Amino acid sequence: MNAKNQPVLRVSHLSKQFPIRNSRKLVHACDDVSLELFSGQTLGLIGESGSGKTTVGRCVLRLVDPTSGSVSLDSVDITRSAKRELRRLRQRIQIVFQEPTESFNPVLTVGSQIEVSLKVFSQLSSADRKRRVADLLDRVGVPGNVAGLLPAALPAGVLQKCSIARALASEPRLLVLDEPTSALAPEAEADVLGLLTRLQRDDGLAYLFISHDLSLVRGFCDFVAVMYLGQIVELGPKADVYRSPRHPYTQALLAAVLHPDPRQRLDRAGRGVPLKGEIPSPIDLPTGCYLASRCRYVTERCRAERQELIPIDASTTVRCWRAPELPTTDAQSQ
Amino acid sequence: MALAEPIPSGDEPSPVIADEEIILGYPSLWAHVIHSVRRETLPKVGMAIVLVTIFLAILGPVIAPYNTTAATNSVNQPPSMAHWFGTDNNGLDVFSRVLAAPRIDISTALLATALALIAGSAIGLFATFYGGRLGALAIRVTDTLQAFPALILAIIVVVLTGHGLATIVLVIAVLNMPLYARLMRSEVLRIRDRAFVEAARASGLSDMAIAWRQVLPNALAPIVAQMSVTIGWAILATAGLSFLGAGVPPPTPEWGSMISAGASEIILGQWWPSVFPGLAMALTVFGFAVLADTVQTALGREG
Amino acid sequence: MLFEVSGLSVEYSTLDEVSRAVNDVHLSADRGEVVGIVGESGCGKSTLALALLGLTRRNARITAGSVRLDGQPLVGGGLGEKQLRQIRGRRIGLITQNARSSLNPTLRIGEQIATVFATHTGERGARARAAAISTLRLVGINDPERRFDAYPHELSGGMAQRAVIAMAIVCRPDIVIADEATSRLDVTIQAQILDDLQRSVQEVGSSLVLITQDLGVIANYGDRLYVMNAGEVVETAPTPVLFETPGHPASVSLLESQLDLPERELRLRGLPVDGRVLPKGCWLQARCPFMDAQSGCRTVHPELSDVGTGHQVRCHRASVVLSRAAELTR
Repeated sequence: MNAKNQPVLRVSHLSKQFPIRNSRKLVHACDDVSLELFSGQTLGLIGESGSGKTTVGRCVLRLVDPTSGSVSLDSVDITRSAKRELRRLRQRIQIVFQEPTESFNPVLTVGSQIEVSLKVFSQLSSADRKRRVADLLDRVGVPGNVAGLLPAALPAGVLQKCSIARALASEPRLLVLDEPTSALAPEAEADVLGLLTRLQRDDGLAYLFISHDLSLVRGFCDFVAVMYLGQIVELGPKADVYRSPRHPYTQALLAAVLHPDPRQRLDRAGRGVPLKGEIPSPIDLPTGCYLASRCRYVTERCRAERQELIPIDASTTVRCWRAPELPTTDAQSQ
Repeated sequence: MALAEPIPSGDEPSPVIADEEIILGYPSLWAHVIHSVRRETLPKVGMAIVLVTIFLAILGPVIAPYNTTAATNSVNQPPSMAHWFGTDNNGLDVFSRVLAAPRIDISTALLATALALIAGSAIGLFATFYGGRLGALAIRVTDTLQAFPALILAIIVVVLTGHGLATIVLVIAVLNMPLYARLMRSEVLRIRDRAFVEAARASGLSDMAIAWRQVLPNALAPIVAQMSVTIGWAILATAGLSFLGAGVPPPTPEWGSMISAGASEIILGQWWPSVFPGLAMALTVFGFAVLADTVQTALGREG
Repeated sequence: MLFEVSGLSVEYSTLDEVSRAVNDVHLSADRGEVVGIVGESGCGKSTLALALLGLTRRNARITAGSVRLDGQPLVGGGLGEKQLRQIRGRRIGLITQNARSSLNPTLRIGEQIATVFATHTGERGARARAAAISTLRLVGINDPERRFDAYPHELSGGMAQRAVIAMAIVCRPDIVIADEATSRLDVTIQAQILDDLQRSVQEVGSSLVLITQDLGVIANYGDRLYVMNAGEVVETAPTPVLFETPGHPASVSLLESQLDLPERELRLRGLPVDGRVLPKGCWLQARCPFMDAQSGCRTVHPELSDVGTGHQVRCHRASVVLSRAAELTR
């Protein structure tokens, strides 16, 4: 039995670099990422392409091995676990991928793929496994006859729910949701999100929700971590981060979102372009703050010193030494 | 860290997925292949030829009207009612020998292809999936083999293992093995980074189980497509090697050696001992080739 | 009006079936105006985008209607393919979703842009290069003299999209059509590009047609909107009017799904209409929550009718929709 106040997931100073072929240089995918997630909570990991959020998700599952740092599930450090041990620990954490059609093997039936973790982690007989698959499909709101079909026969929304059923099969404590609704039409998206909410309430699952869709994260997550070029630049409760973002990047990100509200047009025009220039390359990262080349508040100290996360109030941390003195922009509602 | 806001409830009922919203699944890839074969005339002709040849491979010698190895006196008879394809210079009925030859030709072709396929695919699969030094070495070796001129390789093997059927099978297998290794390798490279392989790994499957159950079934299509091409080639190669004298010793009926034996007679006007086996062989290879083409098109690949 | 489309229709035909992808579409755009075309996927907007240039996919053809630019007929005016080609790129620019596929990976981007310019104006060499560089600067690419020599793979997604935009506007066309031009880009890049595009178009004095599913883009950049469904224009209005008082069920459905409004029963049900089998009466009758046989939804195909200044709706139940929707968006 786990103590109630132990995090389901604890990531400490996680870093990952990828070597580049025929070169001694490295791609710095993520750098010094630390976070905690408790049962029944959802942490949103937001950022644009190249922010490292996908890499963090993969490292947490050890589908990719971190270069340094640690990942603990229920206080068990899985970073150093050997292959066999790791396979056993996989029971506790599962993933739902972005593209449902890609995440299923095209030549095997949906049911047989949902069954896989049952075969690996349980001693159930074949008949019992089939029953359990039927239960899982029922739980996610998919008709049972789907189990005998090939993935290509199903619409994306249904298939994504099967993906969730597969993730639930091993009775995990934590689900990594990697852009689970980006590939779905709005109808299916609402459906899947409703399902995930219900499951979390019923099972106390923890979710690591990776997404680039800021409004979606705002609606779905409890806590939010904003990533830029592999680093977490702001981490705090959703309401605080969205209402008063403290890091210049978070401010720019939220300001850049185009709200479907024509009345806000003039405000946008008045605010000007929040971030100039292009994102630096993840291969040749600057010494100091990664945002220095684009930030309107930049100083010499920003360029010279590597920035660390500093607490800005009881629950939020920001990776910017100037944050306490900078004006907070009140981001738009929605 | 306290919860900032209540989590929105998910109590709205899910919309019922109507049965008609599930796109009626198309049948599996193999059903599509079979359907393509059935649909047009040419593949059906090819299929018919292949089936006839296999039938002959099994029952040819049994249904042949005359004995195929006992020499007689009716030497070099032109085609007639008694001897549809005439007789050769040992007095043997050419028609019977043509019917009996597939037992050698087809069996060696099939066996050699199977060997090439299994060995090549296995090397391709494990070398690419597991990678590492051993894998890289295996791939280098197969690449080198493939670069060898076929004839030289054939001669080397013949020198090492002598004449006979085993040699032929070995030569054909060795010559084709690198191709299957390459095919498998390129498929594995394409497949191993796909999301469903990651999903399998996340589900706790071991590498071996992933290679076998997840990767392999997806990699089969080009292999199967290539298989029918190889069989056609192997028939020609068997005949070719026998023609060169590296294969079956006479009087065993075999198209290549029959053509070879009769080749010198053509100039004398006795065309039937060579031409009929040649035609039979051409027709068989044609049948396999047509089938290969249909399978390849159905599986969506070229050449 | 600078740009006028009248009664444009496009049909797809397969072996034995004909599917109507675009039906009797009327739209217009004036100088300096940004016009938005929105609709769910499958509504025909991308087919329309191509048809505006007289282009169609392989098994489609334009069966009726005309497209006029500055009074001169483009489509439906009997212009030959050769003449159309002279107009495309010169007077109309098209930007599509996937930037990479519009760029030749083996040529430097500056060269590609300069070639477009040279082909249409006849000016080669230094003049073409200068035009390309100034256009690169216009679309927000810093250090354009150096970037001129970049290959497409050296550019990030945002940069590549800007290069494609530059290609589309280098000849300072009268009208630019952007079909989902920024949907795959990161939020901050998208904002920058749309700002730059809008500014470039205004500086040059062209019109801009934005075709998209993204209501945020439309709300912030569109002056006037057309809503499409099942290949038809079902509503047109100035942007603020459409967002505050939508009059067509398809518009309401679109707004709902993107505004996260709690009401779900106002959405269009099921899947988009099949263009091969269109029913008598309104084509959306099977999907529409406002459908009412008494109003003629099943028997009479609705026409676009005025419900306000510059606001037209193709729906027998428009007044009901208007009042219901007004409650929602308050």
